[in-house]
Amino acid sequence: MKLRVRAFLVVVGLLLFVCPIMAFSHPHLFLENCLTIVFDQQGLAGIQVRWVFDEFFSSMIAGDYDRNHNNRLEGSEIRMIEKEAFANLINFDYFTFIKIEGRPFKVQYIQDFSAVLAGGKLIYDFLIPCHVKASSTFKEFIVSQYDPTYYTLVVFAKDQPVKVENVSNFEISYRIAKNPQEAYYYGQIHPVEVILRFKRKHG
Amino acid sequence: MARLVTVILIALLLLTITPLVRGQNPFISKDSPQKVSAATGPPPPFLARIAAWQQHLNQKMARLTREARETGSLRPLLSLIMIAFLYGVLHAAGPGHGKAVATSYLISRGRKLGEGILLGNLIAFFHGLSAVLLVVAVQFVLKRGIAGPLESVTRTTQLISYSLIVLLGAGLLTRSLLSWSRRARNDGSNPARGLKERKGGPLAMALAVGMIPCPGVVLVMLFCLSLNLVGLGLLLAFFLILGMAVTISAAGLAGLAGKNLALGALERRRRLTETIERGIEATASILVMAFGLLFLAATL
Repeated sequence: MKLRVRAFLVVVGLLLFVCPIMAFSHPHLFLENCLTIVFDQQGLAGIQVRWVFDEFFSSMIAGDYDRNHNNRLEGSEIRMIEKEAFANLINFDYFTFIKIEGRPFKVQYIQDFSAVLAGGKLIYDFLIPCHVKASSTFKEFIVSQYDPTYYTLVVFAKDQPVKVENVSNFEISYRIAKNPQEAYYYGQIHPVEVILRFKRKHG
Repeated sequence: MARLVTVILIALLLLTITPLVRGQNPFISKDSPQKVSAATGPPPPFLARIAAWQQHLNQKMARLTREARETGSLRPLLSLIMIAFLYGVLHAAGPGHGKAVATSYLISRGRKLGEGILLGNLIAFFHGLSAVLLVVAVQFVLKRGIAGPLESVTRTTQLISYSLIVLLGAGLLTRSLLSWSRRARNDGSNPARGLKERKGGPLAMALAVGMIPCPGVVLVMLFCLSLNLVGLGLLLAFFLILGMAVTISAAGLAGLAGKNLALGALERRRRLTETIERGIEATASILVMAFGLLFLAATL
């Protein structure tokens, strides 16, 4: 009996060993993101997003869309990239998940898309308009970026991952933290969020 | 009681192999998004770390490849080979590289560990080879951009692959049921016949699972081609495939070892062991079919 119990324990161990192997994810492309949270006179106006892609994906896009092979992306090439290698992200909320005062805000469109090649890396820039009027009390704005399919690994850039702009009229604070309450991709990965609090300055 | 625990453990082993598929690029694919389920428990803490390692290796591979190109030196070659191999090991640890199907298939077919290694290697080989062939065909023969063809070929091969997996699963189930009924009639007096039936399967299964081009290999090849390093691209693709083979084989072997251990615990009761083994094999065949159908439904 003891032998059997031991054998069962080994099987349990194997079960635990095999299952995580099956559940590992496999990002195929990697991007580093920088978020600039932009304010206007009224309060929060949107997020300016910068994505810097890994050199392998960059090389594929450059090979396909830098038609004249001058290592620069011109107007028509950028428009093609937006149409064929970006627009589909509307189906994935542009990898951007926002909560305003705890309520989800669905990203349905973006503005000012542009793409450049710099040092062998492809960079996308775009603006996500999202207006949240400031008041005399703090409001909470949370944003995280990730690919729900985990095909892409989105990580914050090491250097200045978050910036704020035009904040002279507002009192703000923000931090970057993993949210252990939520998980994506079959409950396997916790999103990393920017948690921003802001209110109008007195006087 | 012990028997019950064994059966439950095996069922759990089979059922908890998460059927995660797809693997199409969200930047390009015209498909609707994959449904995201809510958190069911604390995620494994090392998952994010594995992905971070992959990113690190990815950056290092790009940097060393550029260095090799710019200096013309072979010095970074050994490091590059090691990185490509490690990248392959980690890369195949994700879903979409056929491990779930391979493991179920192996469990459905018997107890041979050697078959597990063979299948793992063949899947990785076909998975990488189809990627290399795709790049060569699109870049050199068609002379077209790769992103679009990669997506359409991925989709087409996924449809064919998943359909074949369903068929192979159905074949395995039929074979398992037939051998069960034959055994019931003859009381298993002809073991040689059973052995003969088991031959020739892994190649078909490996082809069915591995025909979908590996995007990792495609990207590495393209990057090397963009730097006019065709030979290096092929070399890195080879070691990436080798790394993937290790992981896929390991997953299959772990499944087989689990089955063998559980059955070993019941060795003294031969008839019971045989019955449970048949049950496990039939269940695993159904699982192969189920994976094929699930993947197909997710792709259509």
